[in-house]
Amino acid sequence: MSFVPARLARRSWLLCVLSGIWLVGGIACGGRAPDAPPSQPGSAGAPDANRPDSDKKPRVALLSPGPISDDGWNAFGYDALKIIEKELGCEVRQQQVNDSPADREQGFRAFAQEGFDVVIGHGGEFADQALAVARDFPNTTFVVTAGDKAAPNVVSVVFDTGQASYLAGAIAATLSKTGRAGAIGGQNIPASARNLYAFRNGARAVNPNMEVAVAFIGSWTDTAAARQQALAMIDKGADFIIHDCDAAAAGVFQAVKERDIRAFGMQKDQSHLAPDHIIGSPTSNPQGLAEVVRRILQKEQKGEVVHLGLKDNAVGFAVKKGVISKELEGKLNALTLAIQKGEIDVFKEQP
Amino acid sequence: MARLPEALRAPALSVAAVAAALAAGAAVLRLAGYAPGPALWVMANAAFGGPFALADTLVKATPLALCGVGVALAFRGGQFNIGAEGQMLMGALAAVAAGLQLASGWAMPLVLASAAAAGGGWAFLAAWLKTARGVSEVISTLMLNFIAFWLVSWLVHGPLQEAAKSYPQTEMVAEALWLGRWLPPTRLHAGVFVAVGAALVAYGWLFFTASGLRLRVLGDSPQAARTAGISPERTAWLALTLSGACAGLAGGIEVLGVSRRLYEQFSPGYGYMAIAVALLARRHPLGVLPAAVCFGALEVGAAGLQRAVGVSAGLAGVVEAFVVLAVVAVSGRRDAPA
Repeated sequence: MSFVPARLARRSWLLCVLSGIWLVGGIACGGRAPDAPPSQPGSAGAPDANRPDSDKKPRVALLSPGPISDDGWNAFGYDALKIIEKELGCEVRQQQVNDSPADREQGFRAFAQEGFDVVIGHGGEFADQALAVARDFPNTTFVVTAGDKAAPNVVSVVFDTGQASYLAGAIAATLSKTGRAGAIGGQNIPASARNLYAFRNGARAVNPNMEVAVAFIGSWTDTAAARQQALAMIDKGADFIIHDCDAAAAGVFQAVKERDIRAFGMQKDQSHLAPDHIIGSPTSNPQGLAEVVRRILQKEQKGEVVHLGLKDNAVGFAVKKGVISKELEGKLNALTLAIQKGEIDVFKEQP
Repeated sequence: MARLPEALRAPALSVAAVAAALAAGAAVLRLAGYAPGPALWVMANAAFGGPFALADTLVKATPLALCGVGVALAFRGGQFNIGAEGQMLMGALAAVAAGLQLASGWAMPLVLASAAAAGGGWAFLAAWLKTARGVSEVISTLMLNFIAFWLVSWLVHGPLQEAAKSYPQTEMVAEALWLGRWLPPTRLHAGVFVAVGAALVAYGWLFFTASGLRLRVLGDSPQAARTAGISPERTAWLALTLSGACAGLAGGIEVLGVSRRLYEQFSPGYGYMAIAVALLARRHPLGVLPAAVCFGALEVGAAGLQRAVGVSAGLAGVVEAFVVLAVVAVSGRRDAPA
């Protein structure tokens, strides 16, 4: 009869589940896992009312739009958070949120509700949600990197990385043999577009006939699309490529290696990702973001849009040694000086 | 173990499913090197600890419940509708399209009705393909999900993109249309009542009306249905269309209650998770409500896990997926339509 084995099977299967619970539960309550995080998970979810008053460490949270292992935009935000933890002595937390306004708002609300002093939304797309949530939580300051809006407790911090992309454009135009270059963005959002068109402006400042193709692949993570786009540009003659597509840039560097042309990194010094091909990277200095947070915690910062650039040492250009001739270096220094003095508007020409 | 009375067996299996799910989640965390006990505690706290957490859970549970009621109805009628995601997107699209034109609070029922109609219409396509062309609804509803996703993607990048053209999203619908939020600063909105109401109506219809009975008979035994003179075609149409209407309504409610606009990543997979919700509820419209709260709590808890323990988003997602799998593994037996 099939009836008995079936019942037996079900019983043993239930036993299996129960023993599993017992096993895992036993381990769980018996002791902490070997590399349990230092942030005391037990007390972490508790509402702020339960926190002892003696524990007055300021608390700062970061909402990342992508994985912090991207060696680019999100890694830069996380670097800033680590600086805030170490140098400002803050308690810090980080959460990655889906690319959806509803989830960004939830992230802001959750941290604000836990009583965080500063919550950073890492990207201009966080601006609307920051404004919406800020009204409900006047005691929390919301920081939006690359944002364009401000309120009494909303500070936008714009890294004008485009100033360094402008320099990259100038280098590309000087060294290019074909007179063509390519610029690949992730999603077509203002922060990314500004960076890439600044590159084109820089190239055209040196060579007005320089052709710079600008394209957006519609994703920050699609390496295959990034590689295809880069190959297409290279096949049309581009011998320099700059990107602002975050983690998808791995695909750009792959194409650059396959066709043996030169490229620029973005946000961080990315030369280790393609050492023979990347000749420089516009960089944002996480210290700049940490400094704004410090001013907020000391009540020195009012709600406004803060622009940080080359002259604040918040944007830099990490250049590979030996690629740049003395003559070009002199030209770059002159351009840098002009940008710092405000004589050149690197964002002048937009699409 | 003594045999449980019939009435208690379904809830008991659901409870066993939840227990297995917790064990699966704990095991994944343990394997990744975290102490599962405190971590699960953090998740529970993020989902249920205090009014804010509870509100967040209910906000997530609302679309899950509405889609879940829809999926449960389709499953009852023997129709494997796995297209709640696409039907929800179409509902959201219709709600936004209508909401951008109509700016009065009086239009709210109209906006929600158009959302339900769009979802129902999207599902009806699959029903028609099934009865007219013999296309399995498993294939067609899944394919229609992709079409809906890319349609929305194109629209928010093109014709429906906001005037500022900064981000791929539509304008917001008029403020007069927003569902009231009670309990600010949480996001708890009146859509919760719509979800509860939909579950009650679905329950009443399914068990206390003639057409509800026909649907159940078709689901339990197509042959018996045919013998009893029930038209399988019309009943299948009804099951899928009603199912789609529920999912479409979920999209409309989500627009008016939470997102207020449309964008690519509108749904974090509510429509797919609703399948697990319906299975955990053992296809019972009222069971969908607690099941949706469980899965809403899981979503919120996974985010809380990231915030508190510093678990990476990827791992939190894996924990979540394993929990869903465990639920389906335990509660899905002999429950999905053949």
